[in-house]
Formats: sequence, C-alpha cells, structure tokens
Amino acid sequence: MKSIHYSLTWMFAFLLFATGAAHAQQTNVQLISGRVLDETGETLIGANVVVTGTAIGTVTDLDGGFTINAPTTAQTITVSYTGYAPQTIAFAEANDLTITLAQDALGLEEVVVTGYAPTRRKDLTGSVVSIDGDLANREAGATVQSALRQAPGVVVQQSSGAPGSGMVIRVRGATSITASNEPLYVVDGVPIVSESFARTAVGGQGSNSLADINPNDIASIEVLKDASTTAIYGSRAANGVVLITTKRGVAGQTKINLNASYGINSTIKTIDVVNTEQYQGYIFERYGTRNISALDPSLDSTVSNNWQDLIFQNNPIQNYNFSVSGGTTKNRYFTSLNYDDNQGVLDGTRFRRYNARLNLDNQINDKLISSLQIGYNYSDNKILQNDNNIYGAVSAAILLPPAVVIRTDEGRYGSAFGLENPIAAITEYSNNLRTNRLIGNGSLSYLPTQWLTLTTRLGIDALDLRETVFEPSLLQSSPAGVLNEGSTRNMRIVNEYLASVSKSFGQTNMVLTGGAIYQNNTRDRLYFSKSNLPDNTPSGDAAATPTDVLGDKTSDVLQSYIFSANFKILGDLFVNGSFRADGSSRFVNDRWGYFPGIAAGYDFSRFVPQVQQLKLRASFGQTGNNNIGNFDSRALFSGTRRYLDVPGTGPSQIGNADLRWETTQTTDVGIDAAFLNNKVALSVGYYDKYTTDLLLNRPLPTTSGFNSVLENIGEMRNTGFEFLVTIAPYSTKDLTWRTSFNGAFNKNEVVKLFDDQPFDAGFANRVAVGQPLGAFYGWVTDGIFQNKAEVEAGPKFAGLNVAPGDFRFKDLNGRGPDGELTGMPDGKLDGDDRTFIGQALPKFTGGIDNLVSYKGVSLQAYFQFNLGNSVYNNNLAFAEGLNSVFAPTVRSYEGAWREEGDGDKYPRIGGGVASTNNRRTSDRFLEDGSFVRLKSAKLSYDFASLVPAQANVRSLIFYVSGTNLITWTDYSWFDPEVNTFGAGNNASLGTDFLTQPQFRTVQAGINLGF
Amino acid sequence: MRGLNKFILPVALGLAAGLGSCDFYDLDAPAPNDAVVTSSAFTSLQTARLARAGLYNSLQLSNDFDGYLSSWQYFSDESDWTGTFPTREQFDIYQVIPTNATMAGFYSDYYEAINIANTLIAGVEGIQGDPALTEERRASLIGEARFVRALMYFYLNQGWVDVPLITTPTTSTGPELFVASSPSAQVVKQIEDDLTFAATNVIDDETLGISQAAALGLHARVKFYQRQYAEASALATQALDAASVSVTGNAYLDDAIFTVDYSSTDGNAFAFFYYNSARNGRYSIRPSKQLIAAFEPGDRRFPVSIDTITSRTNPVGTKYKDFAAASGSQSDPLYVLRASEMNLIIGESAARAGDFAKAQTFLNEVRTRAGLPSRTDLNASNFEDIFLKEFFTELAMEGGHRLWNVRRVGKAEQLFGPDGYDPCDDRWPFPQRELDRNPNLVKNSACSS
Repeated sequence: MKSIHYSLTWMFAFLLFATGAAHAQQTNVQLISGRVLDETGETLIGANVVVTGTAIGTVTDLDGGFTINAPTTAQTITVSYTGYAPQTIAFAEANDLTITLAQDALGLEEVVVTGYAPTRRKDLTGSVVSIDGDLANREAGATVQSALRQAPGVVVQQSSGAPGSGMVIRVRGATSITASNEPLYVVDGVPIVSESFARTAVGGQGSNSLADINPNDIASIEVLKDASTTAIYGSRAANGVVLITTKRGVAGQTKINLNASYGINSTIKTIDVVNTEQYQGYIFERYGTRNISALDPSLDSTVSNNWQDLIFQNNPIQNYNFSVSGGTTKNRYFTSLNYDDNQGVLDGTRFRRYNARLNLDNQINDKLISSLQIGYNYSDNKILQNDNNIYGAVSAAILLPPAVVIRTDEGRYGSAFGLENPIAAITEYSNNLRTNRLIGNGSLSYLPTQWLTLTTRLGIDALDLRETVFEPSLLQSSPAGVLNEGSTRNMRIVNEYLASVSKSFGQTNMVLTGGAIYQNNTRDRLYFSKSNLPDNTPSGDAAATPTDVLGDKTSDVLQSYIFSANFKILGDLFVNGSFRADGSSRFVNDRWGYFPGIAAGYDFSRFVPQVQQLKLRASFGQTGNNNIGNFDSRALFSGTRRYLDVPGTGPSQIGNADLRWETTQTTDVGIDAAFLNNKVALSVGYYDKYTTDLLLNRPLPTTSGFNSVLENIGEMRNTGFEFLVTIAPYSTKDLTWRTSFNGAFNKNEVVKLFDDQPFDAGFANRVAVGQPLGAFYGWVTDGIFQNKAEVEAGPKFAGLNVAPGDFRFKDLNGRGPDGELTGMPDGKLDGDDRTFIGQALPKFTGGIDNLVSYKGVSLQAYFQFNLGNSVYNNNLAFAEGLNSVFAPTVRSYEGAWREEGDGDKYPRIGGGVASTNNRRTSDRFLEDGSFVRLKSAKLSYDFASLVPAQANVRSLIFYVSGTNLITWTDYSWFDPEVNTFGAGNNASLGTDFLTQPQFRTVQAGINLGF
Repeated sequence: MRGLNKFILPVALGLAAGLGSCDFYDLDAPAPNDAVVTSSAFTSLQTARLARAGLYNSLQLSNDFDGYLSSWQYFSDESDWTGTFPTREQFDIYQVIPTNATMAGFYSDYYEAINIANTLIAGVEGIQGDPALTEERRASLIGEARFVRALMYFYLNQGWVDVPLITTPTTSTGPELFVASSPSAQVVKQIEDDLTFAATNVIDDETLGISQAAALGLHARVKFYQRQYAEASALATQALDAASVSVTGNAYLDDAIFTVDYSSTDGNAFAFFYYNSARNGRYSIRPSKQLIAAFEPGDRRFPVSIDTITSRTNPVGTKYKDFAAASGSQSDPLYVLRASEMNLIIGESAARAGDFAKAQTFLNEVRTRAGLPSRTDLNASNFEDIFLKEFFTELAMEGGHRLWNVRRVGKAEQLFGPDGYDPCDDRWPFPQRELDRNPNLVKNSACSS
C-alpha cells in the first residue's frame, strides 16, 4: 500500500502544482454572445458553446442564446448539439453571432473515443465501429457483449441461455489458440477485468463479469478493430478493444429519466423425448425386456413424466432505471440507479443486478478540469448445474427416462442411472454468485496554455465475488449435503500520467499525446467445500467434513509508455501514428514488447461533386496478446500436491523462460463514403491480421510426465471483408427512417503449429494447419448398411463386427508401403479416414437494423444472421445414441433402423459394436448452425405531445419489445447459438451438449422523462 | 501558494520517477504463492520430504478408477460395463481403440507418477549440506521413489508390454522426449532393480506407507507373472516375514501391505462408480456372473465384496463403500498389495514345485479366514484352477488380478475368448495421441492398433 500512497501523493502534488499555476495566471476577458439555430430556423436549446481548446463554455438558453467570457487570446468558439454537426466559428469582429447547425443523421460529425485522442468520425483513419448507447440496451437482459452484435466484424456467441452467462466475442476472428481471444474492455478509460471468476464448475456457461455493467448507463461503445487504433493498447489489443463510455451530464435543465419494463421469458422450443410406453418399447428392443425396473429399481412403468414441461417455465424479467443529470457548464453530473431481474426460463436461475452511478465533470477554474466516474454494481446470479454434466437440469430433463417418479414414497427425489432428478436440479440445488464491483476513474487535467493538457488519472476496478453453492442431501450429487463457499477479490489499479499537445496551423491540426501507465492486478481467493451437513443446514461451521480448502493469491504488473501523434493536414489528409511499450511481469527473459501503429487517410470529397465524404484509409500496426496465466513462463514445483494431511510438492509446469508476447500484425484498408446529402453512408474494409509467436501448448509425449509446454510456436491468419451501409432517407422532426445493413466475412486459418502436428480439442474439434480454429474432424457417414451383403462389401473397421443397421463410413484415405497417407481408399476403415467435416465459426455474419418513426410512433427491428457454421450436436450421441438406458428422442426411436429399407438416418438399437460404430465422432452429429433471427424488435409511442406543457414532460413513451422473436434455422436441437465449453475455450468451439437454451422474451415498458 | 510553486514541479517529477521502482508496480514483484520455481525445490531433507508427499499424491492417479480398477476388470470376466461412457465399454468388449481417451488418460497418469519419481530421485541425490539428510535417509527416500516407479512400470508392462522406459526427470522439451518403447524384458529388469533397491534401502518407520515388505511383495508378484515361481515364492516369503500383517493375524482386507490412501479432502470416486443410484452412485461397473459364481457358498468374503440382496439382477460391488460421501470425497483405500496375495503366490509356487502340502497350508490359511473348508485334495491336475479361483475371489475388484493371473496361466483366450478376447488382446494399443506426439513410438501389435 506504500506505493499507492506514493501515487496518490503524486496526484495531490500535481493538483497543488496545477492549482498554483492556475492562480498565477492573469485573465483578460472579452464578452461573446449569439444564438444557435437549426436549419429550419428553430432555436436549439441547450447547445454547447465552448471557447475552442479550453474548458470555458456555456449552454444556450430557451431562446437559443448564449453569452461567454472568453480570454482575449481566444479566436474561435465551437458549438455542438447532439444529432447535429458541430461548428467552429471565428469571432474576430462579431458580437451577436447567429450560428446555424446542420443535422448529422449519420453521425459523421460525432466525436468518437479512440484510445487517448478523441476524433471526429469523419476523420477516422482506422476501423472503428460505434454503437449508440440507446441501442446497447435493446435486447432483454442486455449486456455489453450482446450490444456488440450490431458491430460488423464482431461475432457474438452466447454460450448458454442461462441469464448472466458468458459469451464468446471475436473481433475479426480469433488470433490465439491458448491465450484469451476476448477483446480488451475499457470502461471510461479503465481497462477492466472480464474473465469468469467462479470456481465451482457448473458446466461451460461460466459467469460473466461483463454482465456487471449497466447498459442503461452506456453513452456509446466503440469497437476498435484495426491496429492503428488498437496499438495504443499494446499487449492486450490483438483481439480488438471495446471502449465503453458512460453517460455524462449535459449543462442545462435537469433531466430526470425513469424507465420501467416488465416481461415474460418463454422457451422457444422443446425436444420430443419418448414417453414411458415408448421407453419400454425402446428398452425391450435394446435389452430384451419390458421390465424396466430390472434395469434400475427406480423405474416405474406406471409413471410418465415430461421433464422438460416440468422444468421450463414462463418467468418474469424486469428492469427499472432512474437517472438524473444536468448541471452548469462548470459542474455537470449524471447519476443513475438501476435494478434488473431476469429469471430466465428455468425456475432455479435468476440474475439480479443493482447499479448505481455517479459521473461528475467539474471545471475548477479556467485551467483545471476534474472528472470522476464511479459505477457500483451488486449482482446476484443464481445458476444451475448444466452443460456436459449429469446433474444438470436440462441434461436430466432430456436423458432421464420418463418412468421415474418425481418423489418417492420416502420423500426422496426419483432418479435413475446416476442422473439428477430435473425437479431437484432446479429446486434443491442453489448456486449464487454475488458480485460487488466498483469501476471508477478519477482524473485531473491541467491546461496551462491553450495547446497543452496535462492529465493524471487513477482508475480502479475492484471486484469481489462471493459464491455460495448449497447442495442438500436430496440431490444425487451430494448424498450427505455439500456446501461450497468461495470468495474472490480482484483489485486492479491503474495510474496514468498523460501530456497532450494540440496545435493548429491554419487548416492543419496536430495532436500529440505521451504518457506513462502503471497497472497492478492482484487477486486473492478463499474457498472451501464441506460435506455432511446436519439437517441440511447450509452452514460452513456446522458441516462435518471438509473436502476442499483453497487460499491463494496472484498478481501481475504492467508498465507502459505510450505516444501518439495525430495530424489533420489541410482539412482532408489524415495521418496518425502511435506507439506503446509494454513491460509485463508475466514474462521472464523477454519482458518488453513494442507496439507501433500508423494510419493515413485522404478525403477526396472536395474533388467529387454531390459527395460529402469519400475517404480512402489504410493502416498498419502491431498488437500483442499477453492474456495468459501470471506464471505460465516459469518452471514450477507446485505446493498443492499434498497426500492426505501431509503437505507435498511436485513438478507442475515444465515452464519456458523464453516466452514472449503473441504479436499480431494487421493491415487494414477501407473506404468511408457519404453521399446524397449525407443520407447514405457506406463503409467497406478489408483486413489481414497475421499473428506470429502464437503461444501454443505444444503437446508433449505424456511419457515426459507433462502434457504440454507453452511456447511461441504458431502462426495464424485472419483475413476478412466488412461492410456497413446506412441509409437515412428521412430525418425530419416527424419522420425518421434509418436502415443499416452490416456484414462481415472472416476467414481464419491456422498457419503453423508445432511440427504442424494437429491436435484435438473438445468432442470433435481439431486444430490443424490450413484449417480454421474450431474446425470439426471426424469420420464421414455413408448411409446405413441395409443388409448382410452390404456389410460384407464394407468398408469396415478391423475387429469391429458391424451388422445391418449400423452406419457405413467412407473409406477416404489409406497408407502406402512407406506408411505415408495416400489420400486414396485402402479398403479398410481406421483413424486415417477421418477428415474435416465443418467449422464452428460462421463464415458470414451481420445484421440488418431498421428504425422508422413517425410522429411519436417508432418501430425498431434488428435481424441478426450467422451463416456457414456447423454445430457439433453431442446431445444426439446420447439422446439418439440408441445404445444405452438414456431416454431417446421420439424421432430416433421411431426412426431407428429395424429392417432393410428403414433409411439412413438412425441406426439400429443396440450396445457394444453398434454403440462403438454408430456413436463415433462423425458428421452424423454435425448440423448446420446457420440462422437468421429477428433478434429484437420494439414498438413505441411517445405521448409527450398529448401531455399539457405545464407538466414539463419531455417524453412519455410506452413500448412493447421482444427478443429472440423468430429464428429461421435447420438446427434440430434447442438453439444454434450455443457453445457448451464456454468462453474460455478457444479450440473446442461450436459444441452443444446439454446446454440451457436461449429463450424468447416479450416485454412492455414505460419511459418517462422530465 | 505562489511560493510553493517552484518546489512542486521538482517534487512531482521526483515522485513520478520514484514510482517505477516501488514494489507495487515492480515487474519483478509478482511471484506465485503456492509454488516454487523448480530449481529451488530440493535443498534440504524437509524439501525432499515435501516432494515425497507429492510422490504419494501422484499415486492417486487423476484417473484412478480407470487406471487401477475398472479398465482391468472390464477387460476380463471380473466385471461388466454398465455405465454410459463408450470408452469404458471398449474395455468390456475387448475393442480398445487407439483413440480411447480413457486409456490415454491413465497411460499418462502412470508416466506422470514416473516423472515425479524420477525428479525426486535426481533431486534428492543432488541435495548437499543438510546434516539431517543422512545417506541412509537419502537412500530411503530414493527407495520410496523407486518403488513408485516400479509400481507404475508394472501397470504399464501389464497393459502395453513393451513401453518407453524413462528413468531420468524431464527438464527440457526437445526431441529427447521422443522415447521409443523398450522390450518387455528390459522394462521388467528395471522394475526388479528398483524393487531390489527399495527392499534394502527403505526405512520403514520413516515412509508414508511404502515399506521393505511392499517392495518385496511387489517383486514377488513381478517374478510370479514372469513364471519364475521359485524366486517369486522366496520373495513372497521374505515379504511376509517383513510385513506387520498376515492372513492369520488380520481380518479380511485388514492385511494390506501397501495401500494408496484417501481422505475426505483428498478423496476418490470409487464408491460412486461401483454403487447404484439408490446410493447416489453412477453404477458404471457391475460384478460379473463369473465372479459371483466363483464364490463358494458360505464365503464370508462375498457379502463384503458384492451386494446381491438389494438387486439380484443388478449386483453391486461393495469393496469401496464410502458412498455416503460425495463423488471425489470418498475415502476408501486402494488395495495395492495384501498378505493373502503372498500366501497364494507361495502356495501356487509350491504346488508347481510339487509340494502340495505346503501349497495347501498357504491356501487354507486364506480359505479358513474366509470361512471355507480346507482343501486337502490338491494335485498336479487341479491346483492351477483352484488357485486361479482363489486369486479371483480373494482379490476380487482390487485391481487387475483376474486378468493378470488368467494371462499368466495362458487361459485368456479360453476364458475370455467367447466375449471377444483375441490373442492380440495381450496388450492394449498405444494411445493415438502418444503416437501423434512421439515420432519414435511405433504402433504395437495390439488388435486395433
């Protein structure tokens, strides 16, 4: 803590220094006044007017008028108003200015936050997508990640339907196999932690620390995609950077906003699984007996439960948000309170979130500006076991035979074959992840002259997660009851010292920024698991038997130095460069990484008539990825190898002191155009991202005692094409119509692996050179053997006596006398006949967004599409395996092969050879995951015009909205957007195994503004 | 205020410069708190003993149910597969394919323990300057490690016959890790050398369970499976002499010479896999009809081993009975070596040498404890089956004794053949991932290689 003290002292000293310096200034002022109007001549109330390059300013009054005390040295003022293009006006003479602002329907004039130097959208040379705060919140249960669906080139895949669950985000494809592929999230300048901290594994859904951020507070999200904009974030930027800017107060009248919504979640679809009569028939065919209780005494042929109907419910979702903002030009504030409650569709799940925010901007004097953003969150995420887990509610609801009673006469839950009773799974199991989190940032800027800004910032992301898992003895998983309590505290502190120079020479502007940034991230954990709970009391001290106790601490330090230079030359040539040096404690021999970025753009619009913008841009840069474990580079002898109660150590990591950053080199070219009077905007771009020094777990022969070693081995390439077309034919007071269409093609290719040896991941994924990450690998079915003659004809696996009704696989490959693969059939089946059968990441993604509003009625609809990917539906290996005691689906039971001519879809019912042969990893379980979805729609009406003016109501909007309304897909299971292994897995993607599905939500709400 | 001004700038700059050197933002400061760098792992007797506990920890294989129990039992007529994992079913139907992930899992577990043993041997040899680490203690610690290494190679040799033989710790990641397999005889010789060392150097009072008797007993078993019966008998006799337990002095299952132990915080899931859902089990394994039939009426070991009362059609193996604890927290020990096995080794070896009186003495100690009548009818034509049956019932579901003994007497095809056992099933195929990762490892002659 000593050092924090130093930092604070430094800030304090800086404050004194700055204040002192400010007091030393002489101020001679001149009075400037005027009016601000729109194109139709109506006054604009609350427009911002500032002396250019200073913090001195005001807002326009009810008549659109303003008066300002400007220093005599001042020559221009800048006037801005949301939705209008800002203007900078010279006032050498005039004292009664009339300023007319033009509408900016496409947002080209908006200031975009990029790194350390905000830029006009029109002036961007890199590839940056902005998402308006209003649109960040349109899905039910929205999070920062779900908002990213709207950005071209960003693939968002929700891992599970559980409220508050994790998501996979890929900005322009995956760059890494081992390190995280998630982008860096920066909230108001603070790079926040975004991983899942929960220790108790409940399947792949994970927890989602980004769900802590209240989307209602978001003013805008910027996704930085190319290296010229991301290089300033250095070693964490290879997967893109997501900048989240929260709402700030606007000088003028106090604004009060209240939003309340309530809705119902419902399942989109259920799976048809056999009833007891059919199950008995199935068991007879499989085991030769109709006496199902012989298989498990718990099976009762007089009972038939439809477990899915019993566990899925129509549950409520609600949101209440209240904000107050306003202030003067000198002191502005934004405050908000928020409550979210999403109960999903399973009774045992619930995500509740409480947010509070205070954002302050203060102009202490002419030279000194301070700002403070504090967001506090408390969330309580109640989750269930699921995904790849026999105790999961959905797992059991599918696989548990219908012939099991809900409760036995003795009061226990019915169960069979070790599966959990689905009702017990949702009612008895409880797992709460409670997070307290504060993300805050305080900054102080000193402007000694018009062109220099010195800023010091202290950012904090303090996260405290408490997890409590209680499994009473009624559950299969815990015969004596289990209680797990865990506490994870993650503290990230970031100090930044920045200097920025902004100069204009005629039509040429220059902004130079340099700084030093220090970050420490420390995490400590406490965790215990105890069983034998007396009388099912969830109490740690009452539980008799400890089963797991853990306490550890880990930290990492990042030291960084940054520099950026932005030039706007003669108004239409833009040149930007940046550089970051990062030193990380995660590496041993090679600690410092250097990340340059450069970009240039030229706007040809002044040479082309009728075109408002025609900018060609190109950028190049390098970014890194250091998202690996804190001590992955070291050879470790772990202290966790105890034997009974004797402490023990043992080799746990072979280590590699030479580890370095993964480096991604990105080339980006694009065209941004606006024409037809700014009614149409088009942005197209092409990129080539090449990642070298890929940190890769090189598989070792396990005879070494280790499974792998992390090395900088691999190379990977992402190339892609993105476009965004926006048309805004009408943007008048009464009629607004805006449609945008975005799309992205990404081609991912693994270029180099260790010795180019492929390796497998998950159930059916294989990482191999020439293939995209997430490729599926397996045998290819070739129908079903219909008779003995076909079986004789083969091809067959050696030693596997298949019979009619079993799948035939294609003989695709063989080996020559030299043992090399020939690519030709060899008459027999073996591992060589496996091939690549699909890929998990979509080839083409995007969306179409529509907004039409007419006199207070407004309709918004967002269609999402995701094309060209496959899902490995491992549910089918169990629910359609037709080999075991698990309940099969109706279609597989009825469609099972029984005699010649029974088709090629479902094999015969049987274990042993049938099971080995028919359930092997193959295209049998691979399905087309493409879908088009009406992701969200909203119909609203603003009654404000009907309310008497005295009531001072700014808006009174009633709306109905829906999420996941319609999905068009061929996928046969619950939902094609699924990822059982969760966000933390890079290679085992696109697999569906007993995962909670997404659901449909319909909500109604009211938005009241004063 | 104005006066202060000229001091503030230098002070502020000084603080800024000082920041880089303070601990909070020091790149060298972060260090793991639950591990040490490998180079400082062996410095004293105390650190050696910590590593020794790690060695025993490694015996609790990650896949202990598969590596010690189920795979061997499925792959014989001892137990049937009743679960849902197809990779386990492959053992039951004698169709283990190279991509079998269960097999790959415990194959690697054995080698992980071997590397830990090798690391301890090299580490302890290198410790200098700790007077508490006497040469006797050094040799004893090395002896424990060599016992573990021998035990793991024993399983590997039973499973895959010719296997890569590695006796030095892994400290680098180059092509030196691509070790080809060694002939079975060489593997067995290493096992025997290790056990001979352990049997003379382990100080029984200072270990965490490994004893001279354990080394002698395991050595006896290895000799026995080599069909070197005289040597086996001699070693088994020595083992019983050195052991503190015996068939006559201890109740059934209380005569263990070596067990891998577990506790609630360091537990297994054996009972979870053996028991059925009525007792919160997964019921992945079921005692076979052949095993049940092998028990004579009145055998006291039967109710300890198998529960047929609850369900005659679905008998449950009950040797691992801590089903009340959650899966992973169950504390049943793994019986690696018991005195009764020594009795049976001595007995059968005597019979092979024609000494049926001695054979009967050692056999009947086991039978008497089980509540069975003594046998007095042993002769050259019946002793093999009688001992085979006694090994089967006495050591039921304690490992792979059934498979190993049936293979030893050359009756695997006869007894398991009807269920699919072929001559090429004398070994399992190497895991595909090992073949993929190690260019010097070539496919073996197993059925589905």
